[in-house]
Amino acid sequence: MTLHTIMPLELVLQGYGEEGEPMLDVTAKGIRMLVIPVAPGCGKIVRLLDCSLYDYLDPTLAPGSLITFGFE
Amino acid sequence: MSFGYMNEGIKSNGSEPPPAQPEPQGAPQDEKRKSAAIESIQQLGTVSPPVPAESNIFCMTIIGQVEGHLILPPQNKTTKYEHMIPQLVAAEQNPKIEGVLIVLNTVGGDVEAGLAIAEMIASLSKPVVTLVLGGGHSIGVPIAVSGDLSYIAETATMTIHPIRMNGLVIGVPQTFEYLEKMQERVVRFVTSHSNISETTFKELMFKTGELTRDIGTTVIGADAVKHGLIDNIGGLGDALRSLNGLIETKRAAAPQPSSIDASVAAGIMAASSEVGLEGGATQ
Repeated sequence: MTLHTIMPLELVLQGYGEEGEPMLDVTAKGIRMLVIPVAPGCGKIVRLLDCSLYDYLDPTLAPGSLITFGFE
Repeated sequence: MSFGYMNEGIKSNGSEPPPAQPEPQGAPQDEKRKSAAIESIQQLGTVSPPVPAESNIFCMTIIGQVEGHLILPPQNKTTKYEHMIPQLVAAEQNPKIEGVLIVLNTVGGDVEAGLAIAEMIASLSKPVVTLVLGGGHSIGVPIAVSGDLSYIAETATMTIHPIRMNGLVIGVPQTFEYLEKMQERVVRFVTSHSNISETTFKELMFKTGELTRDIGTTVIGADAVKHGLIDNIGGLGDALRSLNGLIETKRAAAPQPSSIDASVAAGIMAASSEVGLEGGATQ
């Protein structure tokens, strides 16, 4: 990995190597995704794991958006 | 609303518990729609709420750090490349999308991810217009020039500087030659997708005295256009107007199957009426 950025690397990588937030592999809206839990049944999308192509165009499924999921 | 509906069901069935009610499948939905309409009259004073039509333009924003193979620490605002790539595939595949607008305000990021996004954009068959707002620095430069037409806001800046040696070393021996090769990829992409010459670009990249802590150049709006890096100065209005223009041109150039069929059919009809049915068949 090579970073080509104007941001000082020490700032970009600050906290790198620390234990990241735990992620959950959940299914919401019929799509398997990785989320960072923020509350029970609610998480912030990290990435989609198994979905159809056009799901990527859905802004509600963009990484960083909140989603509710049930334990299916 | 739904309670009223349930009560009616109970009444009609006497003391029996209401069945699963499969028959009026559409009814609750209709009810919901009706109640939404009533609500919109009450809330907005209009019969139907203003529902925007689906756009034929897909807008993609590239902000913060372009994140590559490693998840960056959470203080970074990142553009995730593993989401952008399939988004571009979907935009290319979706017949409803006729053009793509890329809005950039990035500080750079991973070389591999940035170049991957830039190559994907450059190889789209649909018209793409890029717009640099705020900043399109470092690896944002190849992304900014990857479209069919590029715009930069008058106040927006682009920093052109070499890939530094102090990158994070993970597995790859980052020798000087390696970094130079990586840099060459960026230079080649930028010079082949914009009007800037290799000499000018490298001159800007290795200029000293411009940046306090580094070598390189910051080009602002008009300078980027002067050097041929970006096509025009402009904002959202200009970018969208150009994109719509490109879409129109593409639409006009594309053969329209239905009209061709119609003209072929008309031609056959005319020929057969002129020389008779047999003659028309032989022609």
